[in-house]
Amino acid sequence: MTRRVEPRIPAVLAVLAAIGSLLFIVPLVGLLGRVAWSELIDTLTSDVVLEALWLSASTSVVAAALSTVLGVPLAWVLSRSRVPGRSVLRALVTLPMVLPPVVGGAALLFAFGRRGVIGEALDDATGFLLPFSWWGVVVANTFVAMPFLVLTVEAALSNIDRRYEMAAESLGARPLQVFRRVTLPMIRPSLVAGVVLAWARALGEFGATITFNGNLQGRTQTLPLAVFLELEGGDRDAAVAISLVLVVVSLAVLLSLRRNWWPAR
Amino acid sequence: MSGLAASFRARRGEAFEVAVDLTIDTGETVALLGPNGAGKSTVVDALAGHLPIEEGSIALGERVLDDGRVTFVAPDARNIGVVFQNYLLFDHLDVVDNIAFGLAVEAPRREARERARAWLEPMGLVELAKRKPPELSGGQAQRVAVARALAPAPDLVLLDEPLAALDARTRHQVRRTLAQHLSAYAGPRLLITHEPMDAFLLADRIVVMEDGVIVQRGTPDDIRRAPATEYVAALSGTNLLTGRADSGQLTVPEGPRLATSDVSANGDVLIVIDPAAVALYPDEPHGSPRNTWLAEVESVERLGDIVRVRLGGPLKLMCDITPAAATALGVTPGQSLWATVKATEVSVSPA
Repeated sequence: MTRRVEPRIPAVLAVLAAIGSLLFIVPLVGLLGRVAWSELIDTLTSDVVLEALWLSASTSVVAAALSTVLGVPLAWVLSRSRVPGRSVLRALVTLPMVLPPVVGGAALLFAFGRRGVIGEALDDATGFLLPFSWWGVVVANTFVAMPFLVLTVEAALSNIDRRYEMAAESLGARPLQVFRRVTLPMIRPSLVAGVVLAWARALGEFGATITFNGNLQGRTQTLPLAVFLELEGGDRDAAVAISLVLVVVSLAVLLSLRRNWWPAR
Repeated sequence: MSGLAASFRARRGEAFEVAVDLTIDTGETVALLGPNGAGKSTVVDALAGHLPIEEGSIALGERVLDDGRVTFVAPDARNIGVVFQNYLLFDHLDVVDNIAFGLAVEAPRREARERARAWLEPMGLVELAKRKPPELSGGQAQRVAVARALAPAPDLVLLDEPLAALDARTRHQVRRTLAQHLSAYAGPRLLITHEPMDAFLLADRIVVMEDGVIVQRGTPDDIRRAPATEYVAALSGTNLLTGRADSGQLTVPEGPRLATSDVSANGDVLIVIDPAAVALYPDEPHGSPRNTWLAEVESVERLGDIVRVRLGGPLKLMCDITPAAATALGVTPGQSLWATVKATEVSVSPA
């Protein structure tokens, strides 16, 4: 018979940890208690919800993809290069994680709006305006989501054993080949975690999106914006139903990828 | 393809500097032997192109790889096959893809794998083709690392402590197969090791490095017979003492006087005594003119088919005797025995 010594939890820590857990559990119970189960299917298949669902799904996936394509090279530069001002760049990249998303949305508007620094030039040249469009939602999502990917991937890049890259180099691999064939496979778990984290953040994005793009049903109204609108004066049951969808999807993703964050015990 | 000619100074950090000159002909194995911290890995990094040299030059055949000023060939363009310490196999690739890695840089993946497969048979890896590195034993991983380094036909192969990751039992076997695989490679070979036994058994020539500089070079026999420093003497199983010589009479600090037939040096000398030349007796021997003293046994250790006895007291010597002699004497630590060594077995060199 094998006997194991379980760590003994001090009573004070146990009580505080229990209170901490409740902070996350109680709101969920509250939400579940308000769900109108009998009308759930009808509510979720209404035009408003379906359009929001599609907008959320498409913009969050594209934002996650954009975050990956731009964020991985950015993480590499932050981790590996000796470019001056790296720590300033890192602070700027991290800023959206700390900043209220509303401020981020406003800043985007000042840059890309009709009167914005870039927006005006873009409008004159092509007639294309980013705000209040599907691409506007993608940009707002990417703005708040990419920092999660960059930080996760940069940490992984800084932690891997660089000698494996040296081994690849000595075998004749050029820098891009080393990156593609050795570095990327080595940071794969963290990359997956970073992509999912970025996607989840994009899915839940509210402040930057509504500030930059307004709340136009079928065009910029994602699920979180729909929840807000329904709570403010529409259909409270619909708000609860959409919230439930967001909770279920997010929880399922976090659970399925937990191994990428916490090593198996 | 021709040999390596390297003569350079390289610096790691502010405090540590190495100065070496090394030449290796094609088909020759040179061992760079030195204790940990001697600067061996700095030499590896300089040769492989991971550390630019301060001055001097590194040339491989006609090609200058680094001249300390304008020329610096990047690691991926040096064509040096490196067998890294701990092998550094790519865990996400199977054995074939690991071997194919260097080939796939130029050739299409399929062709690279095809050519890599040709290495499985001679390296004894056929059964393991689809395994991932974490599923390999130390000896198997080493063979994959050697195959991976040799597959792209490098101009130099550099082996950085290729046996250090192995346990003592498999070491001997793996060393022998490594010797075979190395002899099948026609270019110059550099073995980096802190283990004299590996250097003695694998290398044609040995270069000994300590504290960033080369302290001795020669054939394994040269080094074994006349180790220049205590480090080499201790690890290669040769007794090395410091003392003073005066026409055949040796004095060791606080030790008994020793006689030597070697009168080639006077003054401060290094005294070399082969452990096999020291004999042990339970009672004081009489007769023939030899150096005799009473010594206390410090430790007894079985080394293959010899027994190594370490003697304490004023003359700290290792002595190798047969297991039969050890049994007859009943050698145990703490025991007092008479030790003798013939004057002809004691040699000296100027310190």
